[in-house]
Amino acid sequence: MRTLDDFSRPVEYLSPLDKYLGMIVRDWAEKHVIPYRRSFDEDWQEHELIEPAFKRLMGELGFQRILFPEDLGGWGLGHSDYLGTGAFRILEEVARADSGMAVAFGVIFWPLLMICVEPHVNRRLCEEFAPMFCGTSEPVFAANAMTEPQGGADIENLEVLKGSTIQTTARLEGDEWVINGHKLWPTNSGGVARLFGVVCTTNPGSTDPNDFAFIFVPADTPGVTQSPPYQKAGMAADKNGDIWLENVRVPSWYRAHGPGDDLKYFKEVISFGNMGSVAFVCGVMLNVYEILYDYCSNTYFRGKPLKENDDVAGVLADIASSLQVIRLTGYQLARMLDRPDLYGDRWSNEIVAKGRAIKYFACDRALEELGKAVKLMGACGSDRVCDVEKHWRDLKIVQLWMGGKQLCQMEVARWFFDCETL
Amino acid sequence: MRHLDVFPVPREWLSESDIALSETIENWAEKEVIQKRLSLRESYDSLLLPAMKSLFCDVGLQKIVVSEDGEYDKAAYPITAVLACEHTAMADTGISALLSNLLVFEYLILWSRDCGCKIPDELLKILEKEKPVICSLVLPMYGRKGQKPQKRLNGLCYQVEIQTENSGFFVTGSGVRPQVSGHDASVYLVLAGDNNGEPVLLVVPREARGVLPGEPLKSTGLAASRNADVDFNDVEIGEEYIVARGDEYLSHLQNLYYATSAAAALGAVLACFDIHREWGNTRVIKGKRNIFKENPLVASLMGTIASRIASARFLVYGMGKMIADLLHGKLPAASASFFISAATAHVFEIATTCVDNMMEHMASAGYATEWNLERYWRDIKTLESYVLPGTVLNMRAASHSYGVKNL
Ligand SMILES: Cc1cc2nc3c(=O)[nH]c(=O)nc-3n(C[C@H](O)[C@H](O)[C@H](O)COP(=O)(O)OP(=O)(O)OC[C@H]3O[C@@H](n4cnc5c(N)ncnc54)[C@H](O)[C@@H]3O)c2cc1C
Repeated sequence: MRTLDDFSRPVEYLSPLDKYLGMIVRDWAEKHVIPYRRSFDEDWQEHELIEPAFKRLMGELGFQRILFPEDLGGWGLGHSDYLGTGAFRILEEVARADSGMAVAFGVIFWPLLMICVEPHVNRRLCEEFAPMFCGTSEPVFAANAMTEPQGGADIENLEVLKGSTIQTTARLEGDEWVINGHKLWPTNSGGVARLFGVVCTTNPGSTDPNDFAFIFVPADTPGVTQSPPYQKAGMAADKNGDIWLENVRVPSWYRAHGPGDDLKYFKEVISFGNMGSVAFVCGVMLNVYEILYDYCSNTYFRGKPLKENDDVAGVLADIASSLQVIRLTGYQLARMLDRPDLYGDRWSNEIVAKGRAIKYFACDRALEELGKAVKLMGACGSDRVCDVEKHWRDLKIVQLWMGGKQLCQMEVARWFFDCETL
Repeated sequence: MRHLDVFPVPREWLSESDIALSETIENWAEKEVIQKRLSLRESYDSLLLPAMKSLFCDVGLQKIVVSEDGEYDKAAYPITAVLACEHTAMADTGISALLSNLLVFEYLILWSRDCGCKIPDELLKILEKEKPVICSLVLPMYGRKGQKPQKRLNGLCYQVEIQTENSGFFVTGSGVRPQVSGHDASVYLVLAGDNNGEPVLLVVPREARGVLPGEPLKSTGLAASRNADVDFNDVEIGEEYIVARGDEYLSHLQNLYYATSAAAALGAVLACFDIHREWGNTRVIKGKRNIFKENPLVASLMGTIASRIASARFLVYGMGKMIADLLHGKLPAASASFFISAATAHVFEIATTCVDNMMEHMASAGYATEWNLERYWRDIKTLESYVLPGTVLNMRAASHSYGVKNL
């Protein structure tokens, strides 16, 4: 009998930890998530069901430590050349159980990438924040606060707008940054995160890359307030809300790198966001494959199992083909991030654009296939008894976030066709 | 009538009373649903049930065929039905889905007058009460191992069987999944198979002994429809509850069900169009002063969306018109059924694609409950998966057009 593991991966360059990390996370998912996930939608505010599963994965199993250097209690993945492929496997396994959990978990590392990853490790900040994540068995979340009320896509449109639309300001007063602004939607806001990475400008309206600033703000700093989480179509395990920053003061060295480099390395954050998004897509599709396998073997049409009908088999083949291609391409993207010596800097416009291309291709195809799966399963597809509709609802936002499809299209066209005015 | 200027339909297809009805429903929508939605969200007891009562009983959509002493013009009914479902869905797709089931029931009553079948008085009387009638269609579905597929149902299986025994008729079926509202139905309108696998249309009142609705399933969309699996444990019904036998009748009911369901999907998309249009007028992208809709990439997708909605609306009203023509004997039944099922599939495809695209334009706002778009998005997908087993529709279309015989 075929299983999800029959979908190919490039075995010649998987991370050395792949097998073990995969096994541990799959076991966790089977025991702590899959049996409960159907009730997560009702748990979107309280996280009473969701929280224990996070505690197990992040705190007790220690996955929240993976990026930090080993001498600071971490697992040292930020220093390895398999961060991409290793992370892809972990995120894929978590998303197979629940993509909302995968997002909330994955985003812990999003701001930390700025300081924990070679060749731009900020040792002082690693030392500052490592105890928060590595010194506890309780789950600790971080958030990457980019999006603002006037729009998230423009802030991510770094090549063209260069941070000129950011309205959250950072002003240096003595040896402190004073931050004022309003952020919306960051994953792990809504009262969850203990640490924010905040995208700011030191000179509103400026297109000078030196004015883009990425500054860490502990959530309990005076002047930080948060709204309760928003209600949304899916992804109950990810809380999102408003963050208001009013005269928030943090030490000057909480800025990730400094003029020019903050913007440069922030593009790497976007690259990892693209890769993570594809991993979420893969995880979801792998589980939809499992559900469909079971449903189409045990449901009968024209007197035989659904999957034995040629027209149904055609649809199943489309779904399997898309998954096969997306998974291989996703791992390839991860590999490109692991080996900048072969493929170019992770923060280069080329890698950002290629990541965008793969991300939006994967999202579009996956949502198309999930739509077909829901339809094929009829009432069972759309009712919350088979989990396919949950995956369909959850996955939609992966297509919409990080600037949405149109921004992806523009960045891809700009790079591949040398467009100059988009 | 909403959006007639933007997405026109031939004016001669609509009567004055249709136009008046559209305005009544618009007022109902504003007062009973839209104004209360922000605070009551999708609450069944506080929002949806009272809104249903007001629409079905006070506006009178459950009384269309009982209030006029049998004088109602059957041929006017299909267009009125699609218009009612479309306009209702602009406020709430779930209520519209329930209305679609109810209108099929009322249509059956109209038919019964012509063909001499007698609908039991007690069923007619419930339509006159000041309590909303929730009618729940039970249609064939995929089967389980060992269940007999029906050729006339293109390989699907009856969910319910009816056995004739000496003294009466007994209805059985376990874990039956209705189209809507299994938990709350007042009547189940069931397409069952008899001892010989022939289709029989029957009405099973909720109070009949042996009808056991389960707990409501957790819902993805269509919050007004609290669906549940239902067991029919040897439910005994009188002969008068068997309202029709044979294929012809069924295709008429199916036609109306498809057309009104497609109208519900269309209404939901039109509601999304309003939300999306407002977004396009006010949102700014690519820095200051660039209004969203004025961006060429954005506008090109908006154009595609609008073109699709325009054709969907024409198809929906075209279905209503075609059913009316069919009743006047102006059309072969097989052609009409083919067109209606094909058009329904097309309208659902348009509806799902358009709302997907609109959500893509609205990004996180599209995904947030506060903006309402995501509700219609969930509703349309849920409705589609219930109404259309895509596999079957394709086979029907192929047999009608290409003469495929054995599938
Ligand atoms: C579950 C969830 C998790 C999220 N997590 C985070 C997070 O961790 N951190 C964070 O900062 N934000 C997060 N977001 C916000 C998300 O990234 C933004 O929603 C997204 O970037 C789009 O921004 P916006 O919603 O403000 O839409 P806008 O910026 O207003 O964009 C709307 C639409 O405009 C169009 N558009 C944009 N740019 C162009 C262009 N150049 N040309 C043509 N069309 C264009 C696209 O269709 C786009 O979808 C999250 C949102 C959700 C729902």
